[in-house]
Amino acid sequence: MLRHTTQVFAEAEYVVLPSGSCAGMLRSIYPDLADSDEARAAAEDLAARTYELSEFVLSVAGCDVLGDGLTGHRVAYHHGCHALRELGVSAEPVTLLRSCGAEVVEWSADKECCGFGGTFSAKLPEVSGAMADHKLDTLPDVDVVTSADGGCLLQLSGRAARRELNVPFRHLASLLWQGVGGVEEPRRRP
Amino acid sequence: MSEASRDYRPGAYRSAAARTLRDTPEVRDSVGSATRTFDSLRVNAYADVDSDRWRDWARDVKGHALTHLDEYLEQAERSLVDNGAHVHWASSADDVHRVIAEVVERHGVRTVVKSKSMLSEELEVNAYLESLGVRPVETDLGEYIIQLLAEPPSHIVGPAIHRSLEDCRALFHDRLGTRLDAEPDELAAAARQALRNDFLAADLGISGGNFLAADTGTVALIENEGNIRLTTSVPRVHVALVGIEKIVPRFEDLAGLLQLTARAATGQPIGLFVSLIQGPRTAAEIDGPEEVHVVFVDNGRTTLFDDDVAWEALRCVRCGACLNICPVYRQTGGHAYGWTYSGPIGAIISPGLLGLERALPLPHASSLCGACADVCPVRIPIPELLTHWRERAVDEGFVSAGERFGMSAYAALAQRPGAFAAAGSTLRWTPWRTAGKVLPVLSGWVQERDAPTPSVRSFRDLWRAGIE
Amino acid sequence: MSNREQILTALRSARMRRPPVEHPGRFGAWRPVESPPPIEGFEVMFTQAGGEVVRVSSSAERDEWLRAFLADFERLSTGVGVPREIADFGPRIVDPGGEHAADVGISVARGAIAETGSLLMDARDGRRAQLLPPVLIVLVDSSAVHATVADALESVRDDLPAAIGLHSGPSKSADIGQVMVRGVHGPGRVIAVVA
Repeated sequence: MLRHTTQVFAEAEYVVLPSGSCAGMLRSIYPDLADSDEARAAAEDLAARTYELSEFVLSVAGCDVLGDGLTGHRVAYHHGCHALRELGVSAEPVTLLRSCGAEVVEWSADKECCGFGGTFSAKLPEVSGAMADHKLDTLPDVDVVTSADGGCLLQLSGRAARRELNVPFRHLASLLWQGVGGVEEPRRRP
Repeated sequence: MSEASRDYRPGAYRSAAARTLRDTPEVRDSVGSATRTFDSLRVNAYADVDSDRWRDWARDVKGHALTHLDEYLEQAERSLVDNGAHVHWASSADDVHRVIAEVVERHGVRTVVKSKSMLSEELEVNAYLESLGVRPVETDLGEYIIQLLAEPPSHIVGPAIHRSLEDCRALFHDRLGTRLDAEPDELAAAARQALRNDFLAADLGISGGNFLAADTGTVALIENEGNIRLTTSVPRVHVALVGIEKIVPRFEDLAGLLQLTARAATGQPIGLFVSLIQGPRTAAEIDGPEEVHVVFVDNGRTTLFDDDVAWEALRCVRCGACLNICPVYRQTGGHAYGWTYSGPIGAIISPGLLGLERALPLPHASSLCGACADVCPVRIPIPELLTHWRERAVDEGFVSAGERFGMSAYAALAQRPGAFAAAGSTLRWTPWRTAGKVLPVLSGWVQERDAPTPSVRSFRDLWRAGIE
Repeated sequence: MSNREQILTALRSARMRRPPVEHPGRFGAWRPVESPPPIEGFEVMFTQAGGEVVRVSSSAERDEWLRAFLADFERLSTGVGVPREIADFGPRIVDPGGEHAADVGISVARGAIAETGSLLMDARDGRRAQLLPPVLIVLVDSSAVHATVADALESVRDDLPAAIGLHSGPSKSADIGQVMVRGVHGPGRVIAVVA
């Protein structure tokens, strides 16, 4: 898959991922997975062109003025572990949300792991659920919870729904889209 | 019989964790509160110094010691013998028991005072002493509490953090006759009184060792209560059990390691009592043990050392910082891990000390969040070591056929973009409870969480249509 | 093969496969250093941990303080280096071996450390006297206060007794429901009298 991915993106000037874990995979882990010098060179080349979405928008595209579509919105930002530790991305999402007018509210547990961890969430569901509970139990009063990682949002929103907690979860990209005046794609009615 | 003694082994981690969460939710509260307190103290203590540089230094002192370990062990032996101490080499727990039995017999030992030593737990020293008809008395307050409860320790630094003040009040009321509403200082005073008599009457003191300086033959120990100083000073005989990885090259190295370990463990500049022990009392001294034995303990450490990746775990200084920050450990405390060492460090050393098969699934008791590596004072790359043990588990055939099949199937799917997209679409519209009957991984999911509500069009659909 | 040989052989063969790590050198002290005189640094750190410091400028002043303080106590244990005049200060001096019966003790420190607020206690002064009484007075010479732990260890390295203790405040524990208590095993009150 490493070979396939490096080929697919060989000609791209930038590879932008709305996912801290995927960007982390390409940037931090791919070079070590390479099984030949050639593959390693391709992986390192790809890594140098790979960015998480908010990192790209702010640091590469230099966009710090987006719109005012989030004015009046109180937002809690969950820092997924991959973005935070593998990519060193933590200020960028918050800066972009604020630049759209959002109030990013302080959350004491914002940098703690949500309990997703990939297969961990399915193999050790009880502990995984307890980890999500701690995040949800410390959540301040906000209009929406967001993150740069789909896996984290799946975990937190899934647990919140099971506990019938009425707080919306949306991906950072969706919120920023709203921030620039875009229209949200509707959810399927259950 | 307490909760913790039911099926106490790493293999029972999932069920033990689930039981703790379901039946004793107050444990999660106690452990969560204690670990967060320890961690916030550590944060301040690190911020107060150039912790990055300090941690690099400590990593390299321990790294140097380990990459010259045999030489320094031999030097330590010479130094200790020159100081008048006896040195023993123990490959296994049985070897340690033999050393203890010989001392017990020669000195007619009836009571032993013990200071907190995770190694002595690992070696099951108390059970062995009892089998000899000798009474072991744990003198660290936390260890004293769990000894009364017949429970194992649940944290490296605070063995009783899973127990609340109410638990202690009930226990001391029952065993020491204190009032049910006694304040902590009254409870401590009662324990002090009871243990004081044991210190004065004991024939033997058994301690562990935080560090062993090879050049001077010094066993260094850190604590806050003073029970280690008493254990190693009052009885006529002192036996120190020291893991072979505890070696540091030079006496002066202790300056940095003692302080860093205290900062990482509890946020203190140094432990309130540090013991630097060279050997038995000299002719110029009016008290102290007449006989000192230092046991160099292997018990699986050479096996761990032989692994070219996992050997780095032997840098550990047993500060407990990784336990304190671990979001997985915080949910249950240490008993669920089923052995002496819990949390992130437990997950990476147990496979070496117990053997991988017996230690599973501990390397999987982690979401690989990486917080532990952020705090480790000796920079052990814990997430890498967790992944390494998981890979070895696959290579050595300890993964179920079902899981192997599941991973192969996923890999096959992921390499076929068309099939992958089709699978994604199917999952968007199939209730996960139903799909879970075919895909076991989903049944784990739906046990604790709902499936997400998908949008009408998927991102792929939007992308193909051109986002406007 | 003996255990010793087994262990050393196993370690040797594994570590020969690895590149050696060089010793990083002496640990100095990595804190922002304001460099107050060590005695003041010691006082700040020791009192922060709950210890007490009494500064005296002569042995006469020291004796006056001791007499007044000891008036509330009955049985005194003394370290080997404690001046003999103290025998007349009031409390009955317990015999060696009877330190656990004392309600106050006086010991002499070998030195002190500013960096960590620690007293350097030498076994040659008597360990039981340093540990068993609930209240401990420690006599400290201000010229023997080291700036750092590294300095202190260097100063004792070539003249080590059976045991050295670094005592950095009164005994404490938070093991009972995470509530801090004092005087669990070691002295619950420690007073450094610095001359």
